[in-house]
Amino acid sequence: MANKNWFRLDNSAKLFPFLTTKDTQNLFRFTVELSQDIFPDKMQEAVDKTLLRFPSFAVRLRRGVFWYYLEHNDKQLKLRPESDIIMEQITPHNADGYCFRVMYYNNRLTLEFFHLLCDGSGALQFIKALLFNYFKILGFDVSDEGKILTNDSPIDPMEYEDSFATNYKPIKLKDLDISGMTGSKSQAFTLPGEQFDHLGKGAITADLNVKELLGYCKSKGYTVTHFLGGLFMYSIYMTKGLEVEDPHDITLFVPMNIRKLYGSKTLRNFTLFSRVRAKIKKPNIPLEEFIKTVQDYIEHCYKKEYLDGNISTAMMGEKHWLMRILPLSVKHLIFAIHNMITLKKPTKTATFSNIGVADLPKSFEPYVNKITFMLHACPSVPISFTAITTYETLTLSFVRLVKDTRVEQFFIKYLADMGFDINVNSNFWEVDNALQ
Amino acid sequence: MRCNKCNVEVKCGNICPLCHQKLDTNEINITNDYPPKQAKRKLPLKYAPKTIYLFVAIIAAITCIIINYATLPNVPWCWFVTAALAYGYLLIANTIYSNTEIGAKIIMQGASLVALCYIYEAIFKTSVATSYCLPIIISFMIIISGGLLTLFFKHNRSLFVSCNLISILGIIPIILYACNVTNVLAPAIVSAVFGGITLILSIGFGIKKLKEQYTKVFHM
Repeated sequence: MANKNWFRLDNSAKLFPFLTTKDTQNLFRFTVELSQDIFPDKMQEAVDKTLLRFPSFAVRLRRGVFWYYLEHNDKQLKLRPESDIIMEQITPHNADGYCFRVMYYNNRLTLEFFHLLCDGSGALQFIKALLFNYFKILGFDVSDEGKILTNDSPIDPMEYEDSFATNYKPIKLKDLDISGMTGSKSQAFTLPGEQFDHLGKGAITADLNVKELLGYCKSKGYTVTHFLGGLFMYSIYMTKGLEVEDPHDITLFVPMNIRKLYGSKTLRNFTLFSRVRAKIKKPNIPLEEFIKTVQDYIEHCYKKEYLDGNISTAMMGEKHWLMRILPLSVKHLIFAIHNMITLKKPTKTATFSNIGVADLPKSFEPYVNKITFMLHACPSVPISFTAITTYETLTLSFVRLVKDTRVEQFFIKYLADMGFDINVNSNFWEVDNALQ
Repeated sequence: MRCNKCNVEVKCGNICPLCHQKLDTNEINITNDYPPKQAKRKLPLKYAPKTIYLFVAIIAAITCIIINYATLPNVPWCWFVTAALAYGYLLIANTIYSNTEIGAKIIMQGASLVALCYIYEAIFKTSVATSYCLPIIISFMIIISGGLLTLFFKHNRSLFVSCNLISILGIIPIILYACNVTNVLAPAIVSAVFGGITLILSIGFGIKKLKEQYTKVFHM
């Protein structure tokens, strides 16, 4: 199976090419901060070697008559210097045909992925293998500790299965819960504010000690995800929500990794979403109410019966005879109309993704400072918020298209005033001379 | 460096990323985690060239229709102009500014050129479309797709399927001749020979690859 040279797109990946427009592409980005500067030639060697172990990453996107598909890419994926523009669109021309790119800048290794290739968990497996190969090439004393898909380990076909298809249970058309899954009927609150009039996005990261935050959350009976999600919604409410008359509900899109629940090993997409909605029309809503809302929604959604229904609904969209026989260009036309409607009536305010612990081997600790994870933002959903933990450091990242930084300021200052020691960094996209 | 207003440590820069207040710092070398900012690059055009073209083409077509029916209603040349403008749109949207597979572009270009010829024939009452234009256009499609397949076979195998389908089209003119739709044989033979040779070569040299390509391209 190692020489499998083409893949059907998985169920959720099938959607992404249709949702791509000139200013929107579902991208995410990992940055690994190493303890010393990167040797580009050695890293290139590591990239070449790692791609041999991950056949589902060594692919290019192709158009079929009915669906897109992924075909093996023979070209070398070239390591490039990092661009100042965060998550610039990936096209067949700017990434050697691949659906992701690898860049470096001093001691930072950055990988940007088009979501149709994999989700954050799958990408993290690739990055860990890449780091392992790089450290081995440099002669560092590292071991995989059973946490890495090394080049010596056999390629398991389950790594590139479509877990949606594997776990699909046929249901009747009348049992489909499309509106519950897409939430398309209700418009969400959109962050007001002037957006950048040039390419690029603003990024702010904040580092804090995860043990301190975990201790606080445990004492209050929350998880870190509930607390961060609630505080993020509260920050939007306090800084932007109160300014608007008769605001729509804040709707937070929270991806849930469902691999553990279904025992999946796939490196491709296997994520479903919880759509957390909070009404903000009344004044003086306390933080606790937002945290409780996030908690209730996630607990409601992270149940097998609920997820089974969502998987079946998603798969029915793909398996329905009409969708199967429609030529790709007709599907594009349908989605173009859909995109035009949703652009005017966005159904989410922001995305919040806590990818959890990066789970790097202990032997990497002297060489890796931290990993940062970022999600794209687009004009209709102009902010995203992410979290990832590397060893004891929790890194929070905000990516935005709006110029002002009040949501981030409120959020981080709130944490700092609670007594957490926070280190802040930014690409200062909104100012011209902060880094001179 | 510390921002006392926001109560945070600031890693890079001489201002706080959150409140944008200047930090009290005497440090000369400010470390920089992100690559230096290049000159601001403009956002993509709000209206793509194809949209601008479409707007201009619609106005031009309406103007032609009005002028034609006001001056020379017996010869409806305006419909040929409209068809040519529509072909121009296809050229921009589907061929120049599109990431569509090259094979699909060739098929689309060939089909629209043939359509343009038939519109010309219907308006100006000629008989060149079936006899000459169709076989010549198909022959060119076979030559271009076959040539590109030979050159880029390693990197673009999906061209295999398009080339194969275009080769099959090569027999259409000879079928039309057999059905007495046209009485000009030479161009029909040329297109059938080109189509036949390409078909035999592609099946002879890569039937296994061809099957695989069909599975990929037509998977439902």
